[in-house]
Formats: sequence, structure tokens, C-alpha cells
Amino acid sequence: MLGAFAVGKTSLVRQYVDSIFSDKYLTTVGVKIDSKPVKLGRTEVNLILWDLQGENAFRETRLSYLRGASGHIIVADGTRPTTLDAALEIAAGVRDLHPGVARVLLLNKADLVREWTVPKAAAEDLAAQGWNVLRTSAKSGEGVEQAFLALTRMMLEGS
Amino acid sequence: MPGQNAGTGSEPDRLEELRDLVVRPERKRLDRVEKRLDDPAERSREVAEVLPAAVEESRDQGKLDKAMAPIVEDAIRISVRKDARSFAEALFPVMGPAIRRAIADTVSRMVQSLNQAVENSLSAQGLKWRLEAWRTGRPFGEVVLLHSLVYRVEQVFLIHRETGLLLQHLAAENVTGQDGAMISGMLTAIQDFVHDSFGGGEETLDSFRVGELVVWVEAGSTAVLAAVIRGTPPESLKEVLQEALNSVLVGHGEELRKFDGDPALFEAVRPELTECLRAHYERRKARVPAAAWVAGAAILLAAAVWIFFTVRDNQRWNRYVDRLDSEPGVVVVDAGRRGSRFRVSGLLDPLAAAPSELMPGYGIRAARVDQAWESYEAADPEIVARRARILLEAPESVDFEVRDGVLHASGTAGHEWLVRVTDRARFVGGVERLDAGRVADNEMAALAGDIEKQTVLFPVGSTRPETGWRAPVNAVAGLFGQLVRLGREIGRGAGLELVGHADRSGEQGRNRELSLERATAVQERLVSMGIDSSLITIRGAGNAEPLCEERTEQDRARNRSVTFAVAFR
Repeated sequence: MLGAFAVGKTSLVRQYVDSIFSDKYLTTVGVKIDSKPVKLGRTEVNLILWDLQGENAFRETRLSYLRGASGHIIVADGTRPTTLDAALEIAAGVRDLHPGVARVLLLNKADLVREWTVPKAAAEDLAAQGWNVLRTSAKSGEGVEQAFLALTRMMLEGS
Repeated sequence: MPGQNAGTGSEPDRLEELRDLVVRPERKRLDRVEKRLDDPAERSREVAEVLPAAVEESRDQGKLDKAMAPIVEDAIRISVRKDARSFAEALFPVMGPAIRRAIADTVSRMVQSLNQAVENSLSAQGLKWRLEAWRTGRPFGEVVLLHSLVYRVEQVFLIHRETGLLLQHLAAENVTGQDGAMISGMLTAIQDFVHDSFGGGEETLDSFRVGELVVWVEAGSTAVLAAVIRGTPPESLKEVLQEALNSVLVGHGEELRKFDGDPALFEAVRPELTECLRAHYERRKARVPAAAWVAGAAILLAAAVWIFFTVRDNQRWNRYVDRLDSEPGVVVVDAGRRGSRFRVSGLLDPLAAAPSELMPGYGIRAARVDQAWESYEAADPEIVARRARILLEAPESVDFEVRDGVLHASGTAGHEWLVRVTDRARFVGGVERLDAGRVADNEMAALAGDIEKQTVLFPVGSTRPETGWRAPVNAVAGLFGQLVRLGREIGRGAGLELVGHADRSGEQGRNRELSLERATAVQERLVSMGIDSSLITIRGAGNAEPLCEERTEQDRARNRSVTFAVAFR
């Protein structure tokens, strides 16, 4: 899970793994790991989720955590456009080092869509560029499961 | 060239045309060749085609190797600088084990490690326990439980280094394993964190402790082995883990490199990993080495000897002190022991026996005793007697005994001394009164002896003495007179006894009368010479006390006599 501060990375994981959501914001320090078994068709996999500390820019210091990852989830906050810029910058930096890794871009906080300042067009542009963009809400659960399943599918197809 | 006349034109133009016509076919070919030469993609393709053959050709000539050598070196250097890890990965399966083995050999050759002892005892221990179980009739498991645990490998994780995914997880009996996937992920994250934070290189976290558990992490190039151990594992266990990891790295190198997330491929390593689930138990019995026994015995012996000598010394000392205290003229006030020296103090009469003289008899060396005496005048009878002897200048022939303050003297002494002593005796400390009555006065004794030698002879049946009676009677009178005078000087009275005798002839009764009359006759004559009649006693012995045996007439004559005896009062 990559992305800027407070975009909802940890909340997405919590929602997906434990089906809980808490309004309280506790910043992740370093990395937190969770696991979730997933069944896709007849394939059973175990997802090991690495929830990384949020960063507003691409930093080289956290690279080792990315090593060996089969997929990246890059998260942006729909109510803060700067987080989208940060997300794209991080994605670019990561791609240089780990080309060919499956990834999805999540525009989170869909429950606050009325406050969204990220224009709809932006999402469409990104989709056109080849991104798999999904709208999610860790609070309501909207799109969370689909997002993880989508990435899982991409990872399985890619391997 | 459009827009120009073909026929008319300058010389150069027509030359150009001509040239063009002549070389047109060749020009095409030239163009093609130029294109090939200019296009780097074309060129490299062509070179690539001929390169292998060219290399082969040049190998025979030997120049290519020399030319390539520096290039290869540079290439390696660049490769290492760019990504040392991949280079190391390539070499690791070969170098890794070799390096480890070399180090292990050196260490084990240099140092006699505790690990070896533990390893050896492990097998013997099992046998011992079985023996104990058989001997005591307890089940083997119970015997094992009796022994305390030194260490036990509880869980083993085999982790794919790149992704941090779990390849295999083993847990020992009765151990609840946690979610292996989470643990392997977190372990990898921690390793990465440590690597990032504490300076690159290949440094990784290799062990950490959590309460009773210690986690050892052995990192290989493509896989990591983590062991959760309870207790205090020996260093040799590290080698076991390294061996196991190594065999996985070498035996499954390809699978590790191509790992796609499916751990089923690594089921095969389970037996190797099971090797790592070791445990060691040890009876927590403190073994006392022989040296300690010997030392303990020696100390006990030394202590016993010391105690014996001390007790003996004290006993001797106490006996000595008792003896000393009972010695007349010595009063022991304080006696005791201070460290190795003895101490005695009290009152000592100068005439008493020296305390030091008594010591040898009790095995005590005077040098070890500190004495502190104050002199006093003892009232002990013995001491008083000694004192009397000295102060009264008593001759050897006189013995003293003191009883209840009365100085009793006995023996013999000169008259002069007897005269003096009566006055002096009072001044001897401890003497209230002198009793010298039993000291025989030598002079008086001599006089008495002389007196008792005299005899007055009588004819048969007569009471009138034979002629020549004056001599003995005079002698007796004179001697007795002296005796009485001497006696008065020392307060001693003297008495004279006259004993009449008769010979055997004649009748018993008559002889008795006769002897008495004879004694009376002598008494009268002595009184007439001035002897005090109150001092004289007479007795008739008849013929009961003859002077000698009557064999001759002379004998009989002698028996008809009066003899003298002196008695002192």
C-alpha cells in the first residue's frame, strides 16, 4: 500500500481484512503487515499486505519494503488533489525500480464524493493511460473488496 | 534536377549527368552499403553474426584473451559496483559454504568449545536416562521431565528473502505456532528496516530475544531461516541452522530464484528443517569436582586438628589454673585465654611456689603465659609455717605445722633457740601462739641421757646402798639441777623418777617391797642434796624390769639397783 499521508491506506486494509473502520487517525510508522486469504475461482491465495508509512513524495529510503512485492496498491484521497500528484510521483519512482509489477490506483474516500476536488476527468485520463483506477471507500466498504480482488487477478494473470 | 535543360548546360552539369549515368547501378549498391554502415542497428546485427566465429578464430591466435582480460575485469568491477548483490548471488552457492566451513574448522581447531561437550553429552545423556528409567521403573518420559531444559528449538521458519513470504513453517511438539505468514512478513520487514536504518552493507539482524525465547535468523542470499528457541542455545546450534539453510539454498536454488508464491515446492525441505528442531535437557545437579572434595576434607581436617589442640590446650590450662589456685599462697583472680596466649593474674605470696614451676607439669609453656601478680601475706598454714621457719631462723631439725593459728613445732633444737623462739613467735604473721612443747631440747636431752646412765647398786636383800653410792647420786643431783634450771628457761618442767630393782632370787612380793625401799633410800639422799622432793617420784619394779639377764653374779648384782628416768612436762 503506497500513497501520501492520511489517504486511507491503513483503513482500507482494516476494512478488507477485519471489516472494521475507525474514524480515529493513527499514523502508521514503518510498516504493518496483515494477511488475508482470498479465493479466486479455484485458486486460493494468501495475500500478505504490507501497509507502508505514508509519504508525500517518492523517497528512496523505504525501497527495501517494496522488494519482492507482486503488486502495488497506490492510494489517493479524492478530497485532496495533492495526494493524487503524490501518488503518481510515487508510482513513477516505483515503476523505475520494479517495472512490470501489477498495480492499481485507488481514489479513496468515496463516501465523501460530494467534497471531492479531484475532477472526474482526471480519473478517465489515467484510465486512458493504462491505469486501473478504482473508486473506494474504506468507511462504507464500497469498492474495497473489488479493488483487492482486481489486483489479485492481475497478479495471478501476470505470474 | 527539375527545371533545367537537358541538352544545354555548363560543362560541370554535363559531367555530372555523365557521372550519374555511368555509376547509377553502382550508386545503388553504394547507397545500400552506406546505409548498412551508417545504421548502427544494421551494423551491430552484422557484427553479431560474425562475432562468435571471429572470437573462435582469434582464440587460436591467443590475442583475444589478453585483450579481453582487462575488459572482463572492468566488467566485473562495474557489475559489482552496480549491483553487488546479484554478483554475490551468483557466487554464493559456491563461496558461501566454503567460507563457512573454513571458519568453522579454524574455530573448532583453535578452541575446545563447550558446545562439543554439550554435543557429546547429548547422546550419552539419553542412554543414562534410559538406564535410570529402567532402574527406577519410571517411564522414560518422566525421567526426561525430571531433568531441566537447557534449550529447545520450538519453531523454524523458512522465508523467501526477496518477498518475505513464508516457504515452510515447522513447530515442535506441544508448541502452538502463530500465523507463520504474518511472522515471516514482519521478520522480513524488520530486516529491511534494520538494513535501512543501520547502514547498508550486508548487515542483517541475526538474533533477538523476547523473554524466554530467542530468535536466531540465518540469512542466505535467496532464503532466510529463522528459529525460535526457548532457553539458552549453544553456539553449535548456529552451525546446524547454517547447514540446513545451505542445503536448502544449494538444493533448491532454482526454485528459490523463480519463486512465484507457491510454497508447495518446498515441502521437500521439511525433513532438513526438522533437523533443526533440536532440544537439550540437563539435570541441574551441581557437580562438585574432586578438587573441591579434597579441599573440603583438608579444611575439615585442619579445623578438627585446630579444634583438638585448642580444646586440649584449654583443658590443660583449666587444670593448671585449678591446681594453681589450690596452691597455698596463690589466689587466682582472673585466668583466661587471649588469642594464642594465656593470661593469669591474682595474689601471690612471696613464699608460695612460683606459678611457672607448676606449668611444665600441665604441658604449658611459660612463654605463652602472661602473668600479673600482686604480693600479699597469705594466711595459709603452709605459708605461715614457711614464714615462721624463715623468720624464726629455725634449724632443719625442727618441723612446723600450723593449725588454727597455732604454730606447732616438733623435732629437736638447741636450747638457745628454744629460749629465743618463744618471744619471737608472736611476730610471725598468721601465728597467734607457739606450741613448741614437742621440740626436744638437745641440751636437756643430753643431761637426761647422762642422768639415766647412772645406777646405784645395793647388796643382797639390803636397802642401804653399796659403798660408792655418792658418786652417782651426786652426779644425778647436779645434772638434774641443771636440767631443772634449763627447763625453767623454756617453761618446761622436768621430773625425776627413781625405779628400784631386785634380782630374781627371793620371793616376788618381798622383792617388790625391797625395790621400793631401795628407791626411797636414794630419794632421801637426793632430797638431802637439795633436789626438790616434789619433782621426784619413786617406784618399785621388783624383778620385773631387770637391767640385764642374770647369768653371772655380776649380772645379779647389777639388778640389785636403782635407776633413774627423766620425764619432761
